Amino acid sequence: MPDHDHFLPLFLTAQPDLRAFIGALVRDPATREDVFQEVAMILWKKFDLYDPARPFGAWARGIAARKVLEDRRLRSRLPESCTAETLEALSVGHAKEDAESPWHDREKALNYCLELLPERSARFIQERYEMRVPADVIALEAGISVDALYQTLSRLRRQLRECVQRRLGLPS
Amino acid sequence: MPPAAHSPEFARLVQHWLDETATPDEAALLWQRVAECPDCAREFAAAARFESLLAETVATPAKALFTVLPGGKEAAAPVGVKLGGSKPAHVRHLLRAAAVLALLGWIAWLLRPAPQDSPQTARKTPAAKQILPQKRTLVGAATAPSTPVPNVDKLPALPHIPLPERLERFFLTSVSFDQVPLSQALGLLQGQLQELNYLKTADLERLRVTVPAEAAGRRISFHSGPIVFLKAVRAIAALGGCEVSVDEPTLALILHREIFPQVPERRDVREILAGRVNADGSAADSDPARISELMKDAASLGLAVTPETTAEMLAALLVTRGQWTALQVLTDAREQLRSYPAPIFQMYVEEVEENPPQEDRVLDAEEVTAQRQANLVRGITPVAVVQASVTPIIPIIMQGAQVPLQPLLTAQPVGEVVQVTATIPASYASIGPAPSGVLLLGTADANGTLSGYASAILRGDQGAVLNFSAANTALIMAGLAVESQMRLTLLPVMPP
Repeated sequence: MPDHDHFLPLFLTAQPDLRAFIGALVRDPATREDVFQEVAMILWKKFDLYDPARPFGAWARGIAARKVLEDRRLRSRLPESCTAETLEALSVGHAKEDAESPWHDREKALNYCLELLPERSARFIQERYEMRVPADVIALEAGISVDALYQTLSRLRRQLRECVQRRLGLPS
Repeated sequence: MPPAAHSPEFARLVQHWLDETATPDEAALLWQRVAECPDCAREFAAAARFESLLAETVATPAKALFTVLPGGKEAAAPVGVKLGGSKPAHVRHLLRAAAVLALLGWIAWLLRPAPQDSPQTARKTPAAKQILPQKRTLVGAATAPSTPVPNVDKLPALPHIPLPERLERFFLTSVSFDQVPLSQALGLLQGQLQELNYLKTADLERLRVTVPAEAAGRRISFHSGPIVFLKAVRAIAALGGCEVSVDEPTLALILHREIFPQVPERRDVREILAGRVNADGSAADSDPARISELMKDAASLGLAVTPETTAEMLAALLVTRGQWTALQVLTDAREQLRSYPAPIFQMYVEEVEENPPQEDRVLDAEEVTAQRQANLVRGITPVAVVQASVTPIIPIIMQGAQVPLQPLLTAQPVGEVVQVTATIPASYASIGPAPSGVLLLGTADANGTLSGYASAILRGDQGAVLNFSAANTALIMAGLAVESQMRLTLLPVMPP
């Protein structure tokens, strides 16, 4: 039976990925945060049931998946095709990604790549992710259509992701 | 044929999902592919992880660091938000660890044995979200017009003032929110506060604002000109169905127990002006200018007011409790601005003798004293006394008469300093850039005519020297001829 003293290091290591996993299911930031906190509490309460032979991240994602599927309000925002099996498949995908490069390595690489962004691109990213300005407002300010903005953001994300991959020496 | 994991079609599905723009069909197809195709699941996981990584790295990690504290409030470690890594990664990790420790502390607190003599309160208390200071580096505050960066090197430290009092006098340059979630609006206000905290006052940097989770997503529309921070927070809180409790160093928004959205009632908005008086002693509620301002403010809050609205209509407007409070705050803000103790300057005009002349610059208190003594020795007397004004027309006291002229000096309270702008008529301006102190800006129109203004950030004990390369015409003051190569010196007079 795991000691609760071991919870913190395991949780600290797993929490960015857990957030990302919950983020894939719950897109509203406030709801996402609520879900994360509730899952964190469940993990703490049920830590006695955790099997240390299993990866903590997978256990945490499993609990998060169950939490989302059992919550009628959250479940209603997901399509019918999103089942427990689907979330298990997604969890496996997360595990593979995590094994490829740890979160903090990616974070360092991303910081480097962000510095390379031209000012206008940086502004889009900042407004979208830091200030959480609605897309239509950013588009209006920039004098472009919302579709064009989404395409621009998509392109920027792709560039940044490729830059991170290159920085980490991973295949694109 | 379903899209493959690395196909543009699948990438589009993923991005639409993450952007919350996916149609139900697209969402169904995406999740179906995730279920059926392991590579698709991995690609989706990679995209979601990157999205989260990007958000966490770029964004104010407020959400990432929210932790719930006993008593139903959340706290978060203060983290900068410079794009591309405001704080080193190890610092963020430490902060994150601290946040998680606090979370665990709260969990432990929740799970503690119930006291024998009190019922166990196992219910989840409403969470509160803390809005972190936001320091923008690449983008100016979305809610504030850009202001010249003041020269604050020579500003003396302010004496200690309690935080609530400081927030009652700390001016934001403007506020403009359209349907912004309450938590975000407060975050932006706090960002503006930090941005304008030129004096780097520690207690302002320590300030924390908490908002109940239940109210965090309520959308707020609020527009104001210069307004002190605490008033803006009160107005926004009221519009979001909350009240503000100040407990240094925290501003806590407390949920007002009521139905939300608030139910409007018919009220006479002119009651807000009742009992208020203008500077000349006249009643504000019978002053057309004040009523006009009130109507503008009411319209900005979304009340059904147009220029055609009659007095009878104003007497029975549908107003919510929050709108009423916000309208009161806006009226208070206008009055506060009107009575703002803008600095007064003695103006000296003298011929430039030095060659080369001294540069346009701000004078510190010592230089002001030296300049005043030098003027005394040389027999140079002030040509006028000018009070910088936050209103468009200022009285210029000269030879006992008050002559309304275009403003020469305008004052704008910015944070805890006053920005005084000396407006120099076109073609007389000495166009900068000045190396330090006074900032001279200029623009040329299509005819090549230059117009400019000198902007100096002055405190009450500072002065300024502005050079003119004007030719042979009356300038600035009625009847005052300023020859070429004259210099205007502004020396402060403490407000009465």
